[in-house]
Amino acid sequence: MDILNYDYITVTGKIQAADHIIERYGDFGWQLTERKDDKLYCDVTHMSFTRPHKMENKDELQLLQVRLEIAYNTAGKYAHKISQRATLLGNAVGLLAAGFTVSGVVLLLLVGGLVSLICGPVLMATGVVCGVVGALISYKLYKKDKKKYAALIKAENEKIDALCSKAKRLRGADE
Amino acid sequence: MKKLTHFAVKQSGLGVQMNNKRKTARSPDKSVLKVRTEKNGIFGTLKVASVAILVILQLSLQIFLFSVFSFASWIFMLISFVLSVISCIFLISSNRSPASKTVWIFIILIFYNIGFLLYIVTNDKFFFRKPRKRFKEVFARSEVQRLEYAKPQISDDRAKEDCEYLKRMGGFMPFTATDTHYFPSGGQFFDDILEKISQAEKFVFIEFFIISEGILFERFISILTEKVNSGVDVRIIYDDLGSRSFPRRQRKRIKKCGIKLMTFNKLVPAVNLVLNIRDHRKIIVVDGKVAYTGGANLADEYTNERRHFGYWKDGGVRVSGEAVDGFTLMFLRQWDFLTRSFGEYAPYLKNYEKSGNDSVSVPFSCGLDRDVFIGKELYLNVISKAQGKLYLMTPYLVPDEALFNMLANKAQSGCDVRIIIPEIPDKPYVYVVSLDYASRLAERGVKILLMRDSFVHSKVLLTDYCAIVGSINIDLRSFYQQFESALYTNDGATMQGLGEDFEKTFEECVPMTKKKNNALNRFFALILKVVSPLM
Repeated sequence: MDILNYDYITVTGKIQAADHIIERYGDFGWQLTERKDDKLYCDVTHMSFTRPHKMENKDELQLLQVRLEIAYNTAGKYAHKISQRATLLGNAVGLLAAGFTVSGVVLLLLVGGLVSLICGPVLMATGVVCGVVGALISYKLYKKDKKKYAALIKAENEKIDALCSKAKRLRGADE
Repeated sequence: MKKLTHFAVKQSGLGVQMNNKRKTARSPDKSVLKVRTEKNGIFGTLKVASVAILVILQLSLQIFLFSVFSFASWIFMLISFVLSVISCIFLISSNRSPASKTVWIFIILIFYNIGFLLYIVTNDKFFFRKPRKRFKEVFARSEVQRLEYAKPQISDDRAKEDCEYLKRMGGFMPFTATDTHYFPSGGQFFDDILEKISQAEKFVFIEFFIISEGILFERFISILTEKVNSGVDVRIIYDDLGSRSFPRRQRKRIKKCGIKLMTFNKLVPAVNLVLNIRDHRKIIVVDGKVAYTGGANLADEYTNERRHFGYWKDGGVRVSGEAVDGFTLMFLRQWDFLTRSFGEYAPYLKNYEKSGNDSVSVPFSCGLDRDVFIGKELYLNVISKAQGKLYLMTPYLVPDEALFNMLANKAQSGCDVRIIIPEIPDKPYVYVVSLDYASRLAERGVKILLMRDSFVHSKVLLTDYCAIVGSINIDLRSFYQQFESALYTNDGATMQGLGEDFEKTFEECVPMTKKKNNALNRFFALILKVVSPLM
């Protein structure tokens, strides 16, 4: 390593975004020197980059690079959030539905008597309705969140594009 | 150019593809990417933690024993009462800040049988008496060696007053025939330092609060080793607490290279809490020709080569000319204090090349080596005299009452007071207090600006007539407890450079809104502010 004349950075990222990350870091003058997949996690890769130590507008590039990293992670956070609420609601309602259904079955088969003959099927029906309604609401919520976060992710991606274009301009490496 | 769709990100999060069949675990981390952020030297942290635990254990044992005795015997109870009263008398007549006095009296009252014990073990008047005496000896000796310098002609009365204050209270000479240059980032600051060190012929003096292994450290060592081999006298002072990520093997390596290394206030378990007193100064002197001070330490995050808290905004200043001797003296005094020796100063002074610059520059330091809080008092002097504009950058905003009122008063008098603080904090608990002070100052007309996606570590002040660049934070630790270094100057080059940096940084900032500190944070701030005079 020629530490006096070159800068070095190691970025750990998700495998599927790796090519994109390499391309974007290239806009900041970083050249990929090594790429190694993580020993523990199947979806993680380590990318080593280098670039000349002395370069024009380096402070501005460093600030933009931090913003690029924040934008990437914000997009990742939004992507994770798309299904978060729907999954939580689905699980909660699913548990409730299962509870109703199981209670109905238990009442019908094990307790006996007129009350259980009436209440058992009612509870089972409630469980089924609850499950169906829960699944529908979860799906609607998923669709709604997907639309909401897709717009936010798009905005982050646009931000990434803008940051990279600015970085290229600062480096004097415009398209 | 490929677009990164949310599906791509999502898939990356779920890890649907398998490159290696043996690996099935997916990373629980939701981040798409991470830059190297690891802190080296877990043993450093363990060392600090173990010393802290041992000190707490010792203190607890003392408190326990005294409590047992005092409850068992009325004689001990009486002794406690007498010592508490004496502590309070000493406390009231001390030169501590009113807030600090109030908190200590509160503590002595609450813990009525052991409060005085806490006061004594944290009191530098008792436990820093010998070091202070040694500092005075070092000062007295270096005064004798002081050489004559050209008397600066200061046209601005306000600058003249400030220089007079620094000279009378700290013995800091106002220098002329000095060029200064301001660096708006840690990267530029260290590039220049390394370039100058590579040209060194006689000596290189380095003093940092933090030295941490990494690429920057390796750059320094590779050049310094070369210099030592060619006969250059290289000396380094570092603070033991700040440099906890500076492992023993690296210290050994440095010493083996022939570099002289000294530690300030070693972290060893002690009954007293003088361990709290740290050397926060940043000084580099090369051949007596150029010197540097600023906010940056010797670690990768200061040059943004390691990511901790977003973008790291830092700065520093280079002086060349007469004022270099000010920094050389500061370093040599600290060196003599630490080595308990009296070295020759003359060979290291008057090595500068005079410039034709007639502005005034005063390198100064502050800390417990003196009886007055020079840094805080100078800030008060300068702020009170600023006209038209007053710009500040600081990582922490915990002013005492006098400074708070002065800032508010300035803003209310029509002065353009702007303070830049970080948007990303390094210490969340201090940030809560900082935001609380910031919002109260904002209510009084001070413009508080948060630098987006960044941690602001610069400690700079710019007014219409002077600038201060150094290591002094606007917090009570910097003002009352730590050793700090800075440069006071009215040189146009630094003032212009600093002004441009402020203008550029304003564009990266957002004004503080009231939302930033919610009710819960305000509550925490209320609690933390009670103890902030003791932090």
